[in-house]
Amino acid sequence: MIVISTTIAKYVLGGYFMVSKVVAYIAIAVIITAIVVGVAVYYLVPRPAPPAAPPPAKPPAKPAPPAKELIIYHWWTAGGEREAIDAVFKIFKEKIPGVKISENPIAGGAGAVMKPVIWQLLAAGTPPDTFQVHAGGELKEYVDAGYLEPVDDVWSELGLEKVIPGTLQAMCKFGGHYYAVPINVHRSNVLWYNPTVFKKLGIIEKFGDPRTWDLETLLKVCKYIKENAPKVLGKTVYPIAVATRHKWPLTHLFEVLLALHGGPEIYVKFWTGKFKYKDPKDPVWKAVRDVLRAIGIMAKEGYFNPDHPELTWDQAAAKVMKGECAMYIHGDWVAGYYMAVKAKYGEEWSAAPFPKKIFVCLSDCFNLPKKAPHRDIAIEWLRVVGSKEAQEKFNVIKGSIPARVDVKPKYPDPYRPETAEDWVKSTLVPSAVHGGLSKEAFVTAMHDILTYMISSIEMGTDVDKAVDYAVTQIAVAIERTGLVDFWKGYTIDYFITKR
Amino acid sequence: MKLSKIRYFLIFMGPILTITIIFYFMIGWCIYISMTDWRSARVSMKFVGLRNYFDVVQSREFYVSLINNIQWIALFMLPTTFLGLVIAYLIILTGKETIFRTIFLLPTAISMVVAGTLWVWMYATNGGINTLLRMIGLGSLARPWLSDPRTALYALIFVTVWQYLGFSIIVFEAAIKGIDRTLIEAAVVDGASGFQVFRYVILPQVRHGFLIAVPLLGLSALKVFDVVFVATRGGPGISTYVLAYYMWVKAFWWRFMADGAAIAVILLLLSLVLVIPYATYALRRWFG
Repeated sequence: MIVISTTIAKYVLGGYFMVSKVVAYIAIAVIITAIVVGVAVYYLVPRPAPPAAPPPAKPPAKPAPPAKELIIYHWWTAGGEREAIDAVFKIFKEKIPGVKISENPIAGGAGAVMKPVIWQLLAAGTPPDTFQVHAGGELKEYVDAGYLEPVDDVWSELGLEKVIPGTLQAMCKFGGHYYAVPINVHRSNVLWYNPTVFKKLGIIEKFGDPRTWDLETLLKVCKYIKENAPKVLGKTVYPIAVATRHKWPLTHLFEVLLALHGGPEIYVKFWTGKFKYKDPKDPVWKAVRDVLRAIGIMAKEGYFNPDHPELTWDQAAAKVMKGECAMYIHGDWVAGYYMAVKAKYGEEWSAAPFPKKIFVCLSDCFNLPKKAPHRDIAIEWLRVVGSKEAQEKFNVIKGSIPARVDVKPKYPDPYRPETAEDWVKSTLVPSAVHGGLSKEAFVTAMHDILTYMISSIEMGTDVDKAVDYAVTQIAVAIERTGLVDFWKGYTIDYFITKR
Repeated sequence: MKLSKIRYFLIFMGPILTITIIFYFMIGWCIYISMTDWRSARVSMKFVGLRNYFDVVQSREFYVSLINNIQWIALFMLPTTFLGLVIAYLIILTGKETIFRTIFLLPTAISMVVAGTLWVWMYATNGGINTLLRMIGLGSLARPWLSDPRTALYALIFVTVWQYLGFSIIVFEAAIKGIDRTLIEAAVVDGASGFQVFRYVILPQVRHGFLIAVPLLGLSALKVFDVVFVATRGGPGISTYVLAYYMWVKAFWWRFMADGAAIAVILLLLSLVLVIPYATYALRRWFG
């Protein structure tokens, strides 16, 4: 056997070397020609550009694959999330008996890992039937690229326009068409605090309800906690918890403080680039500077927990629960975390909308890609997502509130009834950090600019200097990320539901 | 049964040619994309020349990344290579090669994502390393390794040294074992000490070990991405940015595919700077 194989190898290799010169030249010529021709054909032969206008609601040909399958991508894999989406799957299966759900859950908070996968599938022309996406700017990027079909029919059939507030409608509607059905709503602007620490230091008696604090009061509270905690509690308590290992929680803090300090108009102007960003005297810059300076002071004075670069958002939440930090400005999925770890409400955690009068919202939704292999099933899925029953079941478990205002579940926790009430009564703006308002390129740039700013301040850079540098960097980022063009044709009022 | 030479040629060269064509087509495509205006979710192929390259190299992140990559190559490649050689020699001296090889190779078998997560815990303010330092009375050395921009990069570089050391050991173990034993025995008979044997007999004869280890380790240092993505996402600030991570950020988070491709091409060129001298030297040495 060995002899035979050696002989063959010898023969082949010998043969190869014998013909090698001529054949090698031919082979190289073939390779080069193939590459050149391939590239030329690929780029020189004109191809139809992806259509800018929304396509007709129904594709001409019906998809061939056999019915009753739903290929779905989502990133709900953590405890609580998993059970929530399973509840919706159950309803869906009851509605369409025998349907096979091909799930592709891709772990990673906020879809950090899933999104690149989806982009590749869409670019390759092999979309799933539906996938999870944040309503707002993030959704618009898919719409602009021509990957999605409008779902106006589902909206009108379910009467969603009557039960979903204007801001969230705007976050799903581009160029006059709806492109997704929202399943839930989270609030981004919440101040989480440790009630024991607050009570012992008498924060609320001294500074009033956190729901009414302004930026200055927040800084005063930080100062007070920093100075008095060692005396009263006998240990250092960092006033504000933050986590920058994944960077975005710091941008989240910035977002909430900007809404608090600048109000809804300035907030929306900043995140959509709708202001004179080349003019340093623009009022938006003043508000942004104030907020950056406040964050800078927090970094300088040691109001943040010093280990923030090694923490993720949930670890920062844990610090408040344990009383190592006093406050945490973060979204309301923190409530889901506290409930999951069975922290005691009123003792280990409590929450206040911050500020109460504004509701910075984000929403997960599902959509209908063009060329979805099981289009009819996908539309059925969207009907379920928008239904009262699914919204109630999903949100009670997930820790969010329903997008529909006519769904009023009984919440097991003390926090959410207030959120649900504010969803109907407060001024609404979309969250930029969570895909609602800005362009992801700009938000990503902000992550780096802000973490760089506090890191340099913590290393000893002067606050004003660091803020100046951050402001110039932000202006460059607005320019380079194409933020202004992205929101061309939309006014700031489009995103704000004034109440 | 006798096949013609052409048929043999096709059987063997067909797949190789196909792979080569696809491979080079991809590289060509990447180079082309890097010169287009594909800067949104929508695929766009308008030619813009070298604009993206200028934009990329003018950014602050690019410089930080480049300097970090250079530091990474120097501080990762040299210790890993030399430690690998020394440890390989020591392992052979002990005669318990199987056990030690397994021990040192284990980290290499762990995926970088797992290793990165583990090391985040090790490096944490109250994590393994600091606890250990405090236990042995060196509490003054304890520091937030990853939270301090001055140490974060080096902490990550150490993770890669830890991970690739096993690879380096294997390469040098094989190289040392390839040395003619009579040479070593002759040196021992002549009265050479263990160190002298290492310095004057072994070191000159494991050059091909270096030829394998140095470029491969250098390339891994240049391409490093996973540990940065898992452990710090380039933070604190942008202090641990590397080119591959910057490429990811631009391509997938900014969705500036063209800029991402430009960084990829720059990475490719830098890799060639490492590979070409190696390849020519190796070819000249072995086939020249």
